[in-house]
Order: sequence, then C-alpha cells, then structure tokens
Amino acid sequence: MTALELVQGFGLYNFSLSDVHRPRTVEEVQALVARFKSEGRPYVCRGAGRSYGPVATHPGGAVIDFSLLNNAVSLDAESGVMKLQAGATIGDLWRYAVPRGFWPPVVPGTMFVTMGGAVSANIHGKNHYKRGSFCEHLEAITAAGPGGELIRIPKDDPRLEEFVAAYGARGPIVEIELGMKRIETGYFDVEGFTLPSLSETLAAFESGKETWEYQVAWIDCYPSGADLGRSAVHVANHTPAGEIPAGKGFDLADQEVPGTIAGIVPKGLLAQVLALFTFDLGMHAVNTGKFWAGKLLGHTRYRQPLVHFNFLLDSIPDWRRAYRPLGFIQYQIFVPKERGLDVLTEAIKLQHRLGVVSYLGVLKRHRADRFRNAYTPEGYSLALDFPVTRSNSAALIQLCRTYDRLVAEAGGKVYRAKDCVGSFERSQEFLALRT
Amino acid sequence: MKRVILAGATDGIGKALAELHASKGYWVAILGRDPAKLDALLGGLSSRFPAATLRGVVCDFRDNSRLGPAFDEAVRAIGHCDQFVYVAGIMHATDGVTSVPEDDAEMFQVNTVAAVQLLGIAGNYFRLAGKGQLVGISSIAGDRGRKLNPAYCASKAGLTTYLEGLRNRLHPFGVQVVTVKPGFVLTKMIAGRSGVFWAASPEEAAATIDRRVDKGHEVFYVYRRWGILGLILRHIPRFVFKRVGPP
Repeated sequence: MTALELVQGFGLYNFSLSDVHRPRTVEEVQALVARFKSEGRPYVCRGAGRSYGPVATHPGGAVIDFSLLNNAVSLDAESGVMKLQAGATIGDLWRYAVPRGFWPPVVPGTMFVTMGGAVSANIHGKNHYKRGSFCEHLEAITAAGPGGELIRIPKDDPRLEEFVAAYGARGPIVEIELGMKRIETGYFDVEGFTLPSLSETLAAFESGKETWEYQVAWIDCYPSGADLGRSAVHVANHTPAGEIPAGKGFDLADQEVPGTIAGIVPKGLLAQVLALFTFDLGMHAVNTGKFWAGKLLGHTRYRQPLVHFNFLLDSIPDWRRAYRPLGFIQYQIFVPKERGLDVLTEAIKLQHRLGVVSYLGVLKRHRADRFRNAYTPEGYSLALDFPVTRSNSAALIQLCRTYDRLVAEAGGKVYRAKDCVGSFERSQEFLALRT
Repeated sequence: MKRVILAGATDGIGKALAELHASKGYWVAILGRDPAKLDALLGGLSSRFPAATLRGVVCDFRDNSRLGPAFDEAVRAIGHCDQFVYVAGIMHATDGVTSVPEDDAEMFQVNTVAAVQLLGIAGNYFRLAGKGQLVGISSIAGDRGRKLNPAYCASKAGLTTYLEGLRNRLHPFGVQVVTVKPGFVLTKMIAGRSGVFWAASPEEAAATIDRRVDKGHEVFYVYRRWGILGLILRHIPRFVFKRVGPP
C-alpha cells in the first residue's frame, strides 16, 4: 500500500488523501504517465494547489504534483516569447522577465500559481476586459500524450482547445510558450477612490474601460439599502518611460514585497492578527474601516511597483491559516453585462437574508472568451469569500445553491477553479437538461 | 457544507440522520446492505431535498473485506468526509436464558467488529486530514452486562471502550470522537417490546445527536435523564445487580 498524504484545495475546505508523485524532470513525467496508463490508473495533475476547490485533489487516487518541475527555460528578447516548465510559478516568471523588460500579459491575484495551472484553469486577471484570459497569449504548449510521448501544440492547432481550462483531463502539460508584454518601466500609475454603491461601481468600470488597463473593485458586502455594494476601486496603467527613466523598477529589489509592515511588524504574524478578526463582527468592522479609510483619503494617485499592485494578498504569508480548521470557500459569480446590476444586487441581498455575509468581495470586468471551455461572458464577476464554520454551514450551502440557480437563470457561468461546492457539476446537469 | 458518511442509515436513527443532513443541503453518503432499500431511500430524499448531494454505497457489515473499499467509495462519491457516523446495529431477541451462538456472533460482528474497523479507517483518514468528527452510536446497554442479552451488552461495551481509546488517540490531531448512548428510540429494534419508557422518536434522537456533536460533546445520551440512570446503573454493586438488576 502506498502512503497517502493530505492534499488540500486552497480554501482548506476541500481535501483528499492521495498518492502524490513529484517528478523533477520531463522524463519522469513521461514515465509516470506511461506507467499510469499501463496500470489503468486515473490521476490528477496538481500545480501549486492554488485553486480554491477540489480540482487538484483526488480522493484515494494518484496525483502528479508539478511543483518541482519549475525551470524558467528561456526568454526570446526579439519575439518576447517565454518558455517555462509547467511547475514554474508566476513568481518564477516575473523574477526572470522583469529585469529583461517583460511582464506577463495576464496575471491572477497571486504570484503562486503555476503555468500548468494557469493553462488548465485558463486564469484571468484585473485586465480581462482588455487582454482576455491567460490562454489567449499562448504561443504553444508541450504536453505528455496518453503514452507519455511529448507533443508540441502551437496556438493555431485545434488540439490546444483540449487543454484550455481542461484541468489536466487530457494529460499533463510539461512546458508552455507564452507571448510576453514588453514594458518600459516596472511601475504602475494607480488611482484609488471609493464609490457609494454597486451601480456607480459598475458605471465606473464602463467609463474606465478604455482609459485603464487594469480595474478592480473591492466590494463591502455588509451595508444594505442605498449603500449596498459600496466599493473601493483601484485602476492602473503601466507607467511609460519619460515620466520616469526607462528601465526603472526592473531591479528585483524594487519589486519584492518587504518582509515587514511599516518596517516593524514581521509579516509572518499577520495571519495570526487576521485570525483575531475572522468572525462576523470583526470582518464587518474591517470592511467598514477599509471603506471609510479609502473615503477619507479621497481620490488618490500614486506609483506602485508591478508586483505590489498585482499580488496584494501575497503580502500576508499564508493568510488562509486564519480560517483554520474548517477553511473557507469562494463563490465567483459570472454574469452577463446587462444582468450585472440586478443579479449582483440580488446576490448581496441574499447574503443578508440568509445571514452569511462575505468577508471579501472582489468585482472585475470581463469579456467573452473564445475558448470552448469559456467561463467568462461579456460582463462582470463578483468573487465572494466565505468562512466555513459549524454555525454557518447550513445557511452557506443554501446560499451557494441559491446562487447556482441565480447564475443559471441569468445566463451566467460557473468557474470550476473557484468551485468548492459542486456548482460546476450542477451547472453542467442544468445545461444538459436545457439542450 | 458538511460531508457526512453514515454507516447503516436505511432505518431508524441513521435514516433520520440522513434526512436531517439532506434537509440542510449537505453531502450524505450512506453505507447500507440492501441495494433496493438504499435506492428507495436516496430516491425519496433526492426529490424532497434537491440541494443535497446524496450517494449510496452497498456494504454488508458482516463482510469484513468490504468495509475498507466501501469507505473509500463513499469518500470518492462525496469528495471528502467531515463526519463519519457508525449507526449500524442489531439486537437479536432472546428468551432470557438460552444463548444462541450464531445470533451472538452476528451481533458482535455488526455492533463491534465492523464498527471498530470502519471507525478505525475513518480515524486514520481524519488524523491525516487534521480535522473531522467521528461518531459511534453505542448503547446504555454497554454500561452493564445484563441478563436478557449479554452478547448485545458486551458488543456495545466493546464499542464504547474502543471509542474512548480512539478519542484519546486522536485528540492531539484535532479529531473529535463521540460516543452516543441513545436510550430507547422508537425504531424497529425495540418494536413490540414491553417495558419501554422515556422513548425518543428517531427524528428527535437525530436532531439531538447532530446538535450535541457540533457543540463538541464527547459522550452523551439523547435525554439527560438517561445519563443519570446510566450513572446509577454503573454504580450498583455487583451482588445487588446480580439479584435484582434490570433485564
């Protein structure tokens, strides 16, 4: 019998005990795939385990963990195409690319996701409405075929579709080639401001769509009535050379997030501090405080290193510890533009009605995706974090099931990488019933 | 959000627990011997509680080789497990004086041998997970050996002691181990029996069990008065119990 080890979804709520394999080379991946095939054993591919739900877990089964296959292989300064192994993370990527004057066209809110995971979940970022999803920027991928043989699939090959947002179902990706974005400096020009309601936030996204490369809003889910959906918005553009010297900020030291807050508090302690607030009243206070702090500061303009702006949550090491032992889940509602206001308003009202309010709500603007496994309509998404506790358990699942119906009825989509409660399977059944 | 595996839930307290969890929209995997009964139960629950995710796994608790695979299958069916409840139990009727070896052996098999194995397997699972609730439905009958059904009493005493040991073993790993001694519950186990008192309905028993497990209680009876009775029973001197103890 093989020793099983604990494999968790990022939210800690989903987990499995699995037989984990950690190949260090492409050859080892090929050998594993061939072996599993001859034994007739199914397996699951896992990157950094940053998906909130169970997609990278496998109850009682085999898992290929790609975290040791993490070389940044090369970056062609002419074409801007970067080759990376599947287990390399966005963090590995920017540390290689920024000093050479490149930035990934699409990044998520954390630098800890792997390339294999980014393709398999077809991740998106705060610029989705402008640049689309991660896989739209692939030049090619190299995958291990069913017998372990390597296949290079260029971007115009229809077989690429089978790997996009497929969560490893077609076999492991071992290397990707990504079209990078050339940057003049390592900074963003950022503007921050608060808005008093959801409708004004959505309107700001529409008017900012052409001007800004990145837009994101943090939504305070606690207030109801006129204040419902009040937000703190951050928008950003790359700082062009001229404003500051070209190449400024390419030094890694300019990008790395400091190890202490305000030069004093070690960040390792932050998760414990956060844990003091992870209950309903505490998070209500945090959300209210955050909104009013933003409002008092008014409309702010500042310059921020690329890494600081994009990977805000990474600055609190392992913050999810604050949600132990039962963990937390995320429910990300994707909704078409014309239904945005009414569906998202209803989504927040439902939280109040059922007595489970999200601790963290993040609103983004999206465009329709060209891939078969697309999960983004032209419209909005609201990502909602909820702790799982003994006392909110029944109300929380009721909320999720109500969201399932709300999203289906509005013609929205469920994103499998964020799904912790089986909403994706239900949405597939729902679609099957309709067709 | 809870994902529960119930071993033996096609009748009685187990069935009531299945219904309770289904009504909350939870994930429930039921281990049961009779496929037809399992299907009927799951079909009925799914149509009443569409938000719930319900799965059945056929498992005969008299077949030791089936227990491990059945647990694995149940975990796969619901993704992961937060709570495991062993609620299967049988009590053969006796004439009060004659021992029937086959009956006695079967009671030990279902009430103790299969229970110990499945709870042990689930315990290993929760230990690695670093969390989980492990619940064994034992009996007040296990508190003392009584003349009417010595084998039943002993099978439940074995289970109670096993759960205590497991609780002590798994405590450092964040796993909660619960011993429930229900007292009389109006199930087919006591149907037609005389001398029944303080009887709870299965639904009442299930609701109490669920509530108290979540409160973190470790050993309890459905009604607190059973707890007082159990305390008295355990302290009656042997020479008295032998002559005038309850049947």
